[in-house]
This record gives sequence, C-alpha cells and structure tokens, in this order.
Amino acid sequence: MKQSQLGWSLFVEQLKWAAWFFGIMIILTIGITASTQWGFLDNLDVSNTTSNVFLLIIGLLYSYGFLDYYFKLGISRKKFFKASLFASVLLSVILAFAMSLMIGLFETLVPALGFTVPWSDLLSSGGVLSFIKSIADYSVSHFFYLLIGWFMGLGFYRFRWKIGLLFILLSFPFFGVSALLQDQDDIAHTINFFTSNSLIISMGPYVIFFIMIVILIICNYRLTKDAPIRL
Amino acid sequence: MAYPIEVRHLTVHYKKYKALEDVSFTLSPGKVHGILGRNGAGKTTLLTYLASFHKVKRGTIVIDGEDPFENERILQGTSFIYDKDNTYDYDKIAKILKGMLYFRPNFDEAYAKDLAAKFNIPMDKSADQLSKGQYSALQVTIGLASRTPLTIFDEAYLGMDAPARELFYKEILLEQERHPRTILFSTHLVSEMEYLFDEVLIIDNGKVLLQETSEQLLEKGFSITGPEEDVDSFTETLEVIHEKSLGGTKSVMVYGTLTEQEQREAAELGLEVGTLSLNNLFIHLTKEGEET
Repeated sequence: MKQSQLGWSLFVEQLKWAAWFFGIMIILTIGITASTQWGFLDNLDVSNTTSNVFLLIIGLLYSYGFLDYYFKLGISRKKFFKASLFASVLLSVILAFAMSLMIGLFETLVPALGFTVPWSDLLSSGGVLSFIKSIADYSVSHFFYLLIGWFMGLGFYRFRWKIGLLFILLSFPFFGVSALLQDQDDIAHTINFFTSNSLIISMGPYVIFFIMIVILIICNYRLTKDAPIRL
Repeated sequence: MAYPIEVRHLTVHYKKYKALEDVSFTLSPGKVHGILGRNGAGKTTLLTYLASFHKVKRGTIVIDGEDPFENERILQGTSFIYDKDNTYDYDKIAKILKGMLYFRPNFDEAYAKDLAAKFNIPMDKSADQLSKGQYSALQVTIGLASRTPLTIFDEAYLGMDAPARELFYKEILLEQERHPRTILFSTHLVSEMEYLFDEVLIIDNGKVLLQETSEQLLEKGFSITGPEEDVDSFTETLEVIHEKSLGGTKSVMVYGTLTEQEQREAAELGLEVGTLSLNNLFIHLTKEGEET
C-alpha cells in the first residue's frame, strides 16, 4: 500500500467515527438550545472542548488500535507514523471547519426560528475573519490534543500501565499550558507582564503551541519508530 | 517467491529471564519448517522477532539478504498468523478479504473466498461474530491466500476441529506445490502435522536443540526391543532417550544413527529395531529431568 493511500485510508476510517461524533454533537446542541429556551440551562460557553476530547481519544487509540492493526498487515512503523500525521492534520482541520460551521449555522438559524442562541460569545458577531480565526484555533487545538492522546497511548502501549501512568503525568504540563493559552484574557495578562509588544501578545500563544506540537511530534516519532508490537 | 532466513547469535532476555540464548540457524527458502518446542521454550519469542514485532538488540536476523526490521519489502512479504490475534475484528468477512488486496500484493481473493467456503465461514458476518474455530479458519485462510514469501503460523489452528485442520494441512501442501514459499509452523500437534515438515527446528529452554530435515531426523531415531540384558548391553554406548520394561522385555528409544555393524549385531542378538516418529523424538528429546 502506498504512503498516500494509507494516509487517506486512515483518514477515511477516522472520518467515519468523526461523523458519528458530530451527529451526536448536533443533536446535543439542539437539545441544549431547546433546554435553554425552556429555562433549564442558560448562558453556555460554546467551545471545542468536546471535540478536543474526541481527538484525544482518537490519539489514545493510535497505538493499540491503528499501529497494531496496520503493522500486522505489513505496514512499517515509519510509514504508519507518516500516514497518521497526515490523517491527524486533515481530521483536525475538517473537524474544526465542521465545528465552526455548526456554530455559525446555529447562530443564524436559531434566531430565525424565534429561539435564543444559548451562548453569549457569538462567533458570527466577528464576521468572516472571526470564522476563519475560529477554524485556525480549533484546528491547532484539535491537532494538539490528538498528539497528546497519541503520546499517552504510546506510553501505555510500549511500557505497559505503570510507566504509562507516567506519560499521563508528563502530559499535564502540556494540558496546563494549553488551557492557559486558550484563555485569551489570562494569556494577554501574562504576556503583558513581560512585554507590551502587540505582535508578541497576539502571536505568542501560537508560537508556544507550535513549539509544543513540534515537541510532541518528535516524542511520538521516537516512541513509534522501534515500538514493540504486542501479540 | 520465498525468503531464506539467517539468524545469528540471537539473544533475548526479559529482565532476568533468558527467552532466547545465542540462537543461530539458517532456514532454506520454499520449505515448510516445523518450529517445535515445549511451552515456554522460546518459539513465539523467536517468531515475533522474525516477524519484526521487536527490534533485535543482540544478534542478527537476515531475511532475503536484508535486515527485516522496518524493511518495507520484507514486512509486506511476511505474514504472522497466531492465536488471539484480533486484527480482523468488527469488519464483515467479505470486506476483510477484499481489503487484503491493498496490503498483500499477491493476495488471491478468489482463492480466499473458495477457502472460506470450504471452512464454512459465513461471509455476511463480522469477524467478532465467528466462533473460535471459524476465526482461526479465517486467519489461516488469510495466511494462505496472502501468498507472502514468508508465512508464519504460530498455533494458528487452535479452536479448529479435526476436519478443518485436515483441510488446512491439505491446502498447505497444495499451496506449496502451486506457490512455494517459506512457511514456519509452530505447533504442539506434532504427531498430526509431522508429515508437512520439510525441516525441523527444535528449541529447548531458549536454545536450538537440533535442526535437521525431517528425513535426517527420522533416520536418527530408533526403537530397540528385546530381552532386557541384551538391550542394555547393546545400548551401553548409545544415547538412550527413553526406556520402558515389561517383564523381561525392554524397549528403548535411541537418538543417533546405527552403523551397519551395529545393525548386524542387533539382528544377531534377536533385537527388534524400529523407527521412531517425530512426535516420539520430540517428546523424549525435550522432556525434563531423568524421567524414563
């Protein structure tokens, strides 16, 4: 199987799962909108937390599920790694686009039907730029969570549960920095402490995300390239 | 297409446990090799290293002239079929067989479907709905139809009933005629499968005990039966691997070759000389302690 074929095949498989996940997300969002209308819930904070968790789980399955499966069908670890990285990027972007589209559509259709959108920080209020920024932010965040899931899964797959737990601990700093970077007010405040340069304030979080992503890709590659395959 | 295998000084330790110790052998291409050994002898460890499931740390493995680890060509040409492999769960059988074409260039889908029909594997079920025996049959179907230059069966028949196993053995022989490849068989059912093996490698306590062609090995085992005193004196200088007595009659199993002179002496003493099965040789060469 060619490298590109493998990448697409992996992506299509994950896309099927993502379709299920996304269908459930839509139903839940409709339910939440109705509940808010009837006064059960109010002022929801719409975010990509759920899709982040979904991608974290996909990442966790990379070793036990996908690496194991494809290796036993004659695919090398290196080839699998490249294909997985390709599929991960694609899935992160597609899910980010779908999430942003869903939020945008809800913010358009729900008021048109006479209901109130159950969140206050409206994506549509910022126009097309806000929509594009949301896709970019969600993509980076999705990819980052998938890489962390992959990292933790590799820890368990390679070293079994005791050292595997250590990989969860090692992931905590990544989660912490990511949470900090995603809180716009917090990060602006923190960066302001060091500099007042607006370019650094706006691009700083992306640079830090980029560095963490590179670290995770390197770690995952090193852990995959000679990983023992379990029977 | 069949891969030759060369293993030199392969050593595998799991903490203090020595799974394989300085194992060296060569397996000729296009043959069926029986890899025999007691439980825990190191057979599966050896096979997982040949299938590149692990990276060799001490020693070398060369398959078809190259290091197989992370070698695209060798990996694509190696199938490892073993018990408890859940690789094929969840998908429908028809889809699984069709999908194999993407991974194994020599996969023969028509042959796979034909085999699946012979094994009574329902094509419309998913693999996790199959019985243990049917799942094993599906695995050996994939192993045979993949026609990989190196095909490894590690206790792959577990759960298959006697008629299904018989069919499997028959297909192995037919396939070897049509598309010769290097087949490695690890099994406990030695008596049932010994006729399949061209060569035999016996592993004992992580070391190579012996490696012979089946014919050579069978020529090295004899049973000698006769009066106890005559048998004892005759076998004094021979390697006796098993003995039993009943009344004044004694029967021993000997490992080694008998010279023409020894054969004449046995005839003069009225001793009955017979051949040993591979199963008997295996049992008594790998038995523990001094039990007789």
